[in-house]
Amino acid sequence: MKTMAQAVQAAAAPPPFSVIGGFLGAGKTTLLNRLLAEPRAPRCAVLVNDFGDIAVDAALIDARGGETIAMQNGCICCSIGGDLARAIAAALDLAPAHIVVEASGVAHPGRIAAVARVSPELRPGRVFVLADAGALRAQLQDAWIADTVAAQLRAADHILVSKLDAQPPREQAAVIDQLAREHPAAALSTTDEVQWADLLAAVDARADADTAPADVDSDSPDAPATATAAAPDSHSPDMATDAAAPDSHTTAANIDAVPHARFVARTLRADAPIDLRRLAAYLKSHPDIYRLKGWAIDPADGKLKLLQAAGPRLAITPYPAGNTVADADTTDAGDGDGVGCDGGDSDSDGGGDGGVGDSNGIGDGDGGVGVGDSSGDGGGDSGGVGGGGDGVGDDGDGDGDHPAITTGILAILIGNQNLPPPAQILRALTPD
Amino acid sequence: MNDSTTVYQARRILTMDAATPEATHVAVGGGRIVAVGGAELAQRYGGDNVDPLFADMVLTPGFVEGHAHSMEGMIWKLPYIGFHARIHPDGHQVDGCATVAALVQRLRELEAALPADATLFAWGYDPIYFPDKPMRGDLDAVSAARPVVLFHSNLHLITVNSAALNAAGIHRGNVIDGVYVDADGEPNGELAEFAAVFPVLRAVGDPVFHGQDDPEGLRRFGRSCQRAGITTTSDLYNALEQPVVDMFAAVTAEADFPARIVPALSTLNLSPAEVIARSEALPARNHDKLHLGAVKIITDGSIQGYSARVRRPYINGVENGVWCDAPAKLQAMMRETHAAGVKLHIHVNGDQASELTLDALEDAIAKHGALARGRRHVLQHAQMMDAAQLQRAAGLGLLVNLFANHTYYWGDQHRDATVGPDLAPRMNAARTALDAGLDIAIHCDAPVTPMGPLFTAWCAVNRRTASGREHGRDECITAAEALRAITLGPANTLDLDDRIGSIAPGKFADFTALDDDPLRVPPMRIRDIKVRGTMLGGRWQGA
Ligand SMILES: [Zn+2]
Repeated sequence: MKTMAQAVQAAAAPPPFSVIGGFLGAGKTTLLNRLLAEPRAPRCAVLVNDFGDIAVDAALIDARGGETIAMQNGCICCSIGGDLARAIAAALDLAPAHIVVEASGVAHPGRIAAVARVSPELRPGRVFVLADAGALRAQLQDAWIADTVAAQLRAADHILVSKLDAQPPREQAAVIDQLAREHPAAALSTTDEVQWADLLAAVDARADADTAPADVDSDSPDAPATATAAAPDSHSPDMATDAAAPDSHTTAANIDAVPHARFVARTLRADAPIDLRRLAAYLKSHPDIYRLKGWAIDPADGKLKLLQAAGPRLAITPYPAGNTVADADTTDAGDGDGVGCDGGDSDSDGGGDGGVGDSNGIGDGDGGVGVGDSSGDGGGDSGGVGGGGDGVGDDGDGDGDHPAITTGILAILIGNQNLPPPAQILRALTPD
Repeated sequence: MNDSTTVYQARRILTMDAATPEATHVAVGGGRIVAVGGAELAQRYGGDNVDPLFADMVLTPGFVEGHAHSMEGMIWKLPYIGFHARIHPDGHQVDGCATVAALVQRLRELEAALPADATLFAWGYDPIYFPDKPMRGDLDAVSAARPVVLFHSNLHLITVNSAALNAAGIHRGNVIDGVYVDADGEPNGELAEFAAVFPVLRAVGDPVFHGQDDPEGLRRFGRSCQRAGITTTSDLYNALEQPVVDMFAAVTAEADFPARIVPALSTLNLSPAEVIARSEALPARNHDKLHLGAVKIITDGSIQGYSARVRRPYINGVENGVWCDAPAKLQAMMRETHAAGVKLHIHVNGDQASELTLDALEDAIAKHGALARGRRHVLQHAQMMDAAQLQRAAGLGLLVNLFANHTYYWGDQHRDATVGPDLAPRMNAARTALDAGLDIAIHCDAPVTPMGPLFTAWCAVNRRTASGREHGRDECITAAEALRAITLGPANTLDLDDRIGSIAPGKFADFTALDDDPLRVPPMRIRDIKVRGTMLGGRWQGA
């Protein structure tokens, strides 16, 4: 497929073209402000809708004009001002290393991003779509906006969940679960985890890989073989592997098949029991994993645990951990007085003796009992975990039913390009 | 105009004024109407003299176009190659290109007149009317080397030749949404949406015919209005940046500028506070032919573009359309500007868009009461409002301006391809609106459809599609109702009903002179009536 477009690229090295979408209030401006303030950002042209909302430390600004702000890190922020074509043309005149466009809150970001697949002056970057963890599930039920929000998410190469930590733990699990199920091909991470320099470097690497001749693409022996095939939209070679494995209870999703990427987000999901002590040990021995956040049923006590890791230390917290989640109707939160296990210290307590007490809410695996009574009352119960039985369940049918975990694990992982495929991680964690 | 008063006699005068619905004489002095009545006016005001200018004509109030765009004038920078004949602002008729052969021939003539490396641009193309729509192959016959770009009549799509596709780097290997292909998978030249259109205009140049800062374009717009019999028009979406305001103020003040203009400030990229401030400042530039201060909010897209927000998905499976901004922001804009007393024209094509708007205005009016000075917000297009929504609008004291021309231009497509046969015949429900007690206007949305209030009236009275099909006959209105909907009705929507819209003492002497009587010809002939000219503030200009 030698095209004129590629000939032009060879001469001029057109910039990758990425789009940040997401509904009003999802936090695009915050994220863009962080990009502009990022010291290691490449010379990005950042095209924004709400120019007035751009707020960065004055010390980081080089020059400010009516329609542009030049940053000391080499980024330039430009107002779109209702005319995207004009804004892109102006950005191209600056010969930036990367163009990042903020899609309006109601725009379909994929339709904007598509221009880079045609224009010889641009290379495809990535479509980032923000999802507001506090609002998403209500948005997807709202007749005025549900289709818009869903279409934005469908366009995402990478879904960035904002405000996750502000939600009750059960709601956090429900949101992540729903996004992971409904958008299995998209990478998934929280906005907190975004390191723009790494993200953009990953995009640049992929843009290079997509446009470079295949035989030059040899500098990374670790790159998964499936990724070098560089099929334009294949994000999920590992999924194919899993699907082919007969009788597997493991589903691994959100494989980001970016070769050479320095920032990779993946989702671990399994119905089979996971040994959390093994997980803790695994993280210690895999520095390629930067962060983990998830939920699991601990086989040691059959109870639900919240998993959080930054670096090699895995914190395993009983769930619900005595905080005021909105699900008091289904569990007494135990008498666990906040006892947790820090798997990072050692695996000595591993969660098995965590003293969570006799909380009645933890799923017992039969699908009928579970934290959060997710079996369908939907009455304000965010019902993240439990019930369901198969951990897959139907989606978005409006009954508030979000089956997630009865026996296994649901977690998002952030790491570098050496992050092992989820299926491989899961094999390492399941008892032989 | 000074103290001297002239009495004109006409074949018949349709005044739209309840006190004297019909007359034969009108006395005009100082640019205003002095009196309306019979022959006695000659003695009272004319010193027994009567000006016979209109003796064989029928006079109506000057037509008022409640929803058009000054782009109608700007766009004639490019040659017109549409299917239907269209009147150039300079008065000559540009024949329609009704066959592929005619289109190619016209384009060849245009091409031959261009300098060597110029792109051939033209506008007004509408593939809907061609069974085998002209595609890039046909345009390649115009020129193999020179890029050819046709803007569709909806201004959102383009059709181009191979030279333009090549220049843009579009080929069968990188087809995206918006790049249409033929049966063999080759791009056929038709391109929709930003991602497909941008690379072409980037490569071959953007003719920028949609700027609003071109004084000659504004003069053309005025002439187009005048020829259609329009003495007052809206310009219903204008960013009104300072140079544009200055230019509008100067050009409309020219003695021979033949229409009053009511621009509405676009809210695009403005906060409610900015909109309020500008809306309050702009009227300082007003004069008799320029009326600033109103604001335009666009909520959704178009029905034929599948972008109007509809409660029921389009019949081809396309979803419910596209909001122009997040619903919460749109509603906040309406509530906050209403609270500050700003008059709003609100573009609502789909029924979900009208629902959103009614919800917001209901809330705002309950909290802050109606607008002062009898002004009322206007739901523009309002194409899919049903009886319940129209009742709500009436209850809130709103006005609706219906897109009657759609019945003709897209009625067939709405039935067969967009909202389907259940809903299409109910669109632009003028009868239901009148029965709900609403004062209505009807409009053309030029340049989307051509300006011509009599044609618009014909659409509302007869409801025929371009293929001749009857389209919701129970929503037909009478010729008298339609005449009001192109005069006093839109004057009301523009808050000028105290000055224009009817022939009554004290109002501006704005008349449209016709060669026949729209209330007496057979309804199907209303569109054939010729405009002989207009009087604007007592100043006559033949068409
Ligand atoms: Zn319009």
